[in-house]
Amino acid sequence: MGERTDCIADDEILYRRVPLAWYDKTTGLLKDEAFAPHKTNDLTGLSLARERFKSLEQAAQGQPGKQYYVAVLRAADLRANEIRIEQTPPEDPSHAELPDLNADNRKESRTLQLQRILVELVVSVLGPFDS
Amino acid sequence: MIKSNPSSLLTSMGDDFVPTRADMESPATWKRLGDSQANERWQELLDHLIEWGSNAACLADDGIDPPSRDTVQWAAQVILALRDSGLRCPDSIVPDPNGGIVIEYGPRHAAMVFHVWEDGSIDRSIFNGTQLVERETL
Repeated sequence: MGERTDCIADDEILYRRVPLAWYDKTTGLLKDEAFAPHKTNDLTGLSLARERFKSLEQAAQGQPGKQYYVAVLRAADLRANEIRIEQTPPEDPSHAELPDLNADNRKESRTLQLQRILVELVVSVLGPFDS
Repeated sequence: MIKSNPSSLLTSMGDDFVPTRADMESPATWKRLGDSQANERWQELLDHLIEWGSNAACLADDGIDPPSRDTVQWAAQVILALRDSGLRCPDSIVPDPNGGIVIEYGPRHAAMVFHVWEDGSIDRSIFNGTQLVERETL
């Protein structure tokens, strides 16, 4: 595991890639699962991209041939809700993680509640973008 | 316990089941309906699950493990139990990232969520806004 750093400014914009299954553009309803940790991909925390280093289109990249939305968050909003944000690994400044939501605690009530809070903190959902 | 009493709903599907061209990637959501449309919506929801059971690979994505046929069966049992209890049709049903299935009644400020986890365990959670006010394992 790489060293974590807390260099993300409060005024930073963060992106979360969202598969089509978790956002209904017609109703504007974003599902909590958009912030649910994956049991092998999110071992140390939920992945985000930093606007400072990635475009929306880059943040939306996933499985080739698929499309993805991008949920937009503000770092200050997360911190105001006591959700930690860390830049990791050191060699990839474009990547951030939310260590409070991870594979180990994905079924805990606190994690389910944090997922719901994160949905409420989303500023906008953009896309879909081709991958 | 639901897990110990699997439904024949999906096991009755043969290997020759032919998937439809239904939109399988978008979330399945339903607007609130009058009684006259309720049965049709329940069936629509079950049909959606049957599609997942027969063609779960269509749900696979970067960050989404498709549900197993067993998981789809357990979710179908939950749906049937809800219907038979006289509840209205859920507002949405979506896969979780790890092979589970989430069935939700809205609105978001007062939501009831049934989560069928990939290991067959089933939770019922009630949210008041973002607060999880009640959670039990069924």
